[in-house]
Amino acid sequence: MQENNNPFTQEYDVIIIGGGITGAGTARDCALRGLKVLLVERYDFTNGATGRNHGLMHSGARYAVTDQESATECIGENMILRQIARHCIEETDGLFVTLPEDDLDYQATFVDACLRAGINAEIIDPAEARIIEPSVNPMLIGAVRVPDASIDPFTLTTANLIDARRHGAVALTYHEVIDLIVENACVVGVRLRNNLTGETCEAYAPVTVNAAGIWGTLVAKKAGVTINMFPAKGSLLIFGHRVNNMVINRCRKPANGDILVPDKIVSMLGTTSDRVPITEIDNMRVTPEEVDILLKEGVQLVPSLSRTRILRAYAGVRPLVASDDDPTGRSISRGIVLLDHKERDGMDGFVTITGGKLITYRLMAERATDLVCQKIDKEGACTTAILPLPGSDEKTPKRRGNQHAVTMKAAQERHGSLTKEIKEQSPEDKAMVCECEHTSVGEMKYAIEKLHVNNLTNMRRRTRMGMGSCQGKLCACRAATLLCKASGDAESTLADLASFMNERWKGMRPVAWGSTLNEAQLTTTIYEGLCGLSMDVKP
Amino acid sequence: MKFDVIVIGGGMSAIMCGIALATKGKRVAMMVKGQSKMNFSSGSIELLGFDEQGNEVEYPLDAIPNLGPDHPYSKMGIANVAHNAAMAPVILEGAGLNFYGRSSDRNHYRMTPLGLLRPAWLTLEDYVAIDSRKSLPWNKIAVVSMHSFLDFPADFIASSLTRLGAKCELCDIKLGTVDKLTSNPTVMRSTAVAKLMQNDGVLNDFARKIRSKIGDAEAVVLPAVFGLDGDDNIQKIAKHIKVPVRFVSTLPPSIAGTRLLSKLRKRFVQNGGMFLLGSMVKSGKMSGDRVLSVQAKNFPDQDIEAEYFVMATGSFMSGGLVSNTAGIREPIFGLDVDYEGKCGDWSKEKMFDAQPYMEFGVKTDNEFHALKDGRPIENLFAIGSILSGHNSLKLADDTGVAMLTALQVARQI
Repeated sequence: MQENNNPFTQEYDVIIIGGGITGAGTARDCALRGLKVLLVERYDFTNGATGRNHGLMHSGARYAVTDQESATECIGENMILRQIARHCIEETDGLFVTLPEDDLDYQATFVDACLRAGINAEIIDPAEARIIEPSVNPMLIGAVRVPDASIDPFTLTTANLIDARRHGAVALTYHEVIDLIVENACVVGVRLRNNLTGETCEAYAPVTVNAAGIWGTLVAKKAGVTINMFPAKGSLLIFGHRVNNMVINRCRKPANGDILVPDKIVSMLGTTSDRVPITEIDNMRVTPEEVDILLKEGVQLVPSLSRTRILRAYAGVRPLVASDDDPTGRSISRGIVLLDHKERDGMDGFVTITGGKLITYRLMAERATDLVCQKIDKEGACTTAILPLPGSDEKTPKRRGNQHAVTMKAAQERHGSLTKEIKEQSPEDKAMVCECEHTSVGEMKYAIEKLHVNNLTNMRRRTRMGMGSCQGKLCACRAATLLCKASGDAESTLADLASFMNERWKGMRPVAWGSTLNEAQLTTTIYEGLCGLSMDVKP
Repeated sequence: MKFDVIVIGGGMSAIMCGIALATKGKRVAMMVKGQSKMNFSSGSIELLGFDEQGNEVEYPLDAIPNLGPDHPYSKMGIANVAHNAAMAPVILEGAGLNFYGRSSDRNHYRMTPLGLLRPAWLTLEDYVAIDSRKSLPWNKIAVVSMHSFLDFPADFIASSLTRLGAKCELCDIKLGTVDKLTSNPTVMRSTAVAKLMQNDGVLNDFARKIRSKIGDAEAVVLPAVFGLDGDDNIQKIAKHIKVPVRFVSTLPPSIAGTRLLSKLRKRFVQNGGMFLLGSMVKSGKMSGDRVLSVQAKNFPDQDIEAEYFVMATGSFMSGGLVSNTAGIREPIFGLDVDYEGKCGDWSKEKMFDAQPYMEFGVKTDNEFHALKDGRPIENLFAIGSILSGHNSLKLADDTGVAMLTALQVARQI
């Protein structure tokens, strides 16, 4: 690494901890306001809750009855994201359906609360609901149409990071904060460990922003600061094809398994909500009971789910924070939590931004950045609500003559106008690596070059490779070849391939019966039998 | 329709059983649903690659007596294993398939598409086969890949050969017609490329480009996309390149599997066997402890009768076993399935751990009569991957169990 490129000899105004959507959004906002930004992420971007949720762009309707403030925030951000993050969003709209066993009176309460929050909720005839969303339970007795949508948290995070980098930010993956450097009751920097090489290093800035989601409680502890967090595990199921075209919710108080979101070629059903000990947040497993609950509820919403193959089950952890005056955790806030640790704990130079939701990330970033600017006496207005993200900032380029329609269309869904950066120099660049998600060699080369891709999991998150119905059966091996060409290290690429397949299996296992079990056997037959792969790869 | 024997299935065990029976003069019909596990064939035949502790096996016939009592080999008994293991290569050769490893009882290694080594008993003679990790037959090897054909990870293979002590050169060859092919990005899969290689012009162009790039390499490793329809183009490419040519299998679909299966099928038909292709057998009629007939989707309202029936329908991935949260069943006859626990117990957390479901299968007696309600069915046998009692991935005994149980049952009929 050249001396002047060394990220640890540069001076920063702010260090942001966490490569989820909150960290990425904060990095963008800070960079747009002219701050010198270092973002550090201990593993990969979107590794935490950002990459483990529905991908639902809430209209806010779900919270309208129980939490007006959250609902108002949601609809406000919903409208902003439609403008600034077009390429990450599919404007599906959503339905809140009332089933025969539900109380139809709740519908009026619900619509009233939505309207008060500014959410355009429109009661429609159940017959119309059956026409516009044929998968919905035909027994429904009521339906309300709301501006829910589907959003891709992976591309959203990437777009924020790209813009942050365009404005000078430095972002490092696989760099874990092992210590906060405190001098005179002020956090002045971070001590980092490179999780790929084991090397340690330090970086300094007058303000450090803790945007590590549920892990933020552990980060704060390193400065002796206590944040009372309540990890809430949410489990979801991914179905093998796109069952529904609109988001389908149950019109009742939020409960388990009552949201089904279409996400490109699949559908996601969620969620459950259970307290888990903080010691388990790195090791989330979906239990058979959770699968049962989700399926039982999901089939109510959309009966055909009972006949649809489940691709995998996964779980994320919501970063819920207890109010400071309530250590028992009874009044848990689901809203945005911004903590100035100077005022709260007497620890200067340290800010925590947490709570909130995927869809309110921009607002969270804005508030955190306002506080950072205030701390370092920097003036500058937030522009993230009006400046489109890279990918949504230009017209989507027309397909060039030699490009293939299918892979380019898929790439445009992931990268928007940034698709123009995908070079197609050789016939190989056009070849399709992932047949489920239509990822081309060219797109993968772009990801390796520009989007922090070191391994197959990074590749999956940037290009959706291996996320479709085959779960990486052949494409993982093809992508591994490309990574091997880039790194020149066959042995560690094979080890990565084994761990990638093992990770895919982890999500299949809770639903390993029927066709999912058949697919699992087929995948193992290919990788272990035909290819001889194992966790302990020896030549 | 009435036959002496109906074999249900179309993979390795079915075809071996069919040939052996047809050779005996039986009137055999093979009811084939569609594709089989042969799509994932490596080009090698295994007997036993690892023992139950996971150690590599050098002499499979010596290690087989140490297998547990539920293993199909143990049910058959070592004398029958030896007899059938001697018979199997004769049948393969009779079909025009020649193998490395034929002259020895010792396992060798095959090279996987990822360049890893797996023990094998027999390997198609034109595929890479290595006697020991310490000795390669060549010092300088050219590994040839085809530009934009992604299913042959040449980098891994070259890296592996280098580790084994060879000097290795990677040659990426652009085929003349490839631009036309890649205009549709899904086309470049092994079967499409194998079809392309049947065109003399393409093959000559390919061979010429290889020759110009390999320098003084002593051998050339090629993706196994030759021999899709007969061995003609294998001989042609070997003749063109002049130095020895060896194949390594690609990612599926396997051309080796197609090659094995098509030659064996030809042999079966030559011997008087009959195919009922596209036959999705859905049920069987029984009387007491005998099967009378089977019914198939493509023969509506017909009972297909036989004296004997052989189940070679495979495991979960082939549809021979089906599962749901309530349990596992055999879908045609409702045979007894050997499995334990609830669906959470069928698998292990790590993908490459020994998965319990791999050992599930239909129950049989020691003569491979399938059991139903605890009683053997007199004229119904089960062979190949549908059998319980062994993990074919961990033991590397998949094709061996398929062939040997097939031959054992054929002898009993």
